[in-house]
Amino acid sequence: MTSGEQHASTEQGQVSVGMQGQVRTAGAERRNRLLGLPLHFILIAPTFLIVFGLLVYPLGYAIVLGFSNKILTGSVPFKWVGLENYFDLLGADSEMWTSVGVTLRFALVGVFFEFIIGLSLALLLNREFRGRTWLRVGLLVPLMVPPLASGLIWRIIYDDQFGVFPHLIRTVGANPPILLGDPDWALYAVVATEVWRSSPFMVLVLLAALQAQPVETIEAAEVDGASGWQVFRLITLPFITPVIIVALLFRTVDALRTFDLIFLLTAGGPGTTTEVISMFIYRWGFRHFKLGFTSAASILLMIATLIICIFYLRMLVARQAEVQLTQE
Amino acid sequence: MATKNLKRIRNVAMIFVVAAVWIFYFFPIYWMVSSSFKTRVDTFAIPPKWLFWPTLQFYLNSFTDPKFLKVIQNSVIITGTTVLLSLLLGAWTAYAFARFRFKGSLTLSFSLIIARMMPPIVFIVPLYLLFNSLKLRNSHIGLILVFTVFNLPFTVWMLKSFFEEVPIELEEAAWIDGASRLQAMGRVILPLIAPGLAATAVFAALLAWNEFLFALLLGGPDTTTLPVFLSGFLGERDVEWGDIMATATVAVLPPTLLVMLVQQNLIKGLTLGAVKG
Repeated sequence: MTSGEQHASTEQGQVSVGMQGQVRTAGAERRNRLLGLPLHFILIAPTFLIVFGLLVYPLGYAIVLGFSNKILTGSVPFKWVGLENYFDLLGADSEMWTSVGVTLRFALVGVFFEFIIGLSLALLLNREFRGRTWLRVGLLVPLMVPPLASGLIWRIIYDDQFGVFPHLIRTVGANPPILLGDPDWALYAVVATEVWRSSPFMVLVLLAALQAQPVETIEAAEVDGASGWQVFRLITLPFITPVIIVALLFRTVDALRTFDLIFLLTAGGPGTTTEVISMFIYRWGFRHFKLGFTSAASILLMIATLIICIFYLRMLVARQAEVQLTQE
Repeated sequence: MATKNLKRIRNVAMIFVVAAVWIFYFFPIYWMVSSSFKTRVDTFAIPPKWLFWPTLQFYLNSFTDPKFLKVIQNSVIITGTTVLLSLLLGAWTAYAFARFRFKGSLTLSFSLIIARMMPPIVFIVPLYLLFNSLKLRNSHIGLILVFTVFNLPFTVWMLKSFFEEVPIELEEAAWIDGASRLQAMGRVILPLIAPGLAATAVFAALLAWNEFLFALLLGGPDTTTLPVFLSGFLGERDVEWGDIMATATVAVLPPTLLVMLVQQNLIKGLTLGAVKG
């Protein structure tokens, strides 16, 4: 049982026997109230007050705006347009689909490589070798660089005139494309930067999962004559699978949030080849000032995120139940 | 003898792997820092210069520019206040979630995770209009409030996990001595979870220091933070990479130092919810 549950049971007035039980009930009524209100209510009130004011209320506002033609500059008279914005967004010729495609490619290709790199490095770091600590500390570095700064750094690395990367390609005799300016390459150049920046996260999460694995099971399997590969496939992999799924979901949602990096690297260009969904919303809201249309797009993005969140939360709740079961 | 050779080969291979990984992750940072010490001619040199005579010109430029100093001041004020506010509100809320099981407590705590997952861009249009009508745009307090709200899911969940590690018996002992719940929390629990508190603070600082979208669109000339200042360089016609890289280095330095101090506990925040459930 967790301490929270123990306490919850006394909260309901079930007096347990013994010294501890007396402590918990004695004066609990007075202790758990402040200014005549339940203490927990007072403790969470400020947080949820600003969460309501700055997150929930704006979302409601966005839903309402989504049914209007509001334009920031006021050049067109305001009127309600019903579902027109949604029809425009979801129509077959909508630019949003291009953006959704870019976002999906960005997320899937990025997360795929992050996972491959993440798992290999986590397995590597899970062994004893000289320089292990250094490697782990080195991994933290990209995580601390603001996405914005990493965009700037990679811009000079990719630069087609004086950049290091094209230079390296030229020294091996090939002719490098203009990485950030070539519609075929720009997205992959952006993905590479994102992999550089985010794969350490994957390493750290998977490493934590590997280190939580009980040594006894592995030793037992080795005694029984299992090969290294067998141990990994039959014992380690099933053990860390839940963490892998959660980490993948986590990174996918993060990919949907990406803005700073692309804003700095390509601003969505060339054309709209790297315009992820956040850039799409930014462009319609703050370049074309079509706030009604943009709000409708935001609501669609919110719904998409919610769907992924539900998957995530179900995993999380299932895991929490599992943890509690093993502790009991 | 054969196994000894095999072992040696494996060791050498290992060194190569470690070196490759290290270069992949560290080279871009090295390049940023070294570019900040390169003169204009060296930056644009083809092929790229590995050895050059370093110049402090860009750092001197930056630190004698009152505009840049104002930007640093903005970033420090906004980040500092955000961290204090998120820790204060976050600790109260986390304590309530860790120690009370009340109606709706699960729903409320998980709704914070959803808030963490939402792309910030979803909120930008309504917040922009709201801030315009409340005259909060281009104000420190406006940015602090927004940064705090986006920090709270992290701080609450991180602190909640630290609170849950403290046995309730310790608190009960304080209650017997006549302390109220809040006194017990302040004098008994908070000192115990000080390392966790520090990691949470660093994490909140990192998020606030690096925040860009809201700082760009809800801020203004009076609240320009480092990331917004950095992005502004690219709009200029003649991009001065030395200035940009010097500013970027200054922007990356404080978080790096802070993270090094608390690296072990920080991993908890990064992996929020992923490993421990």
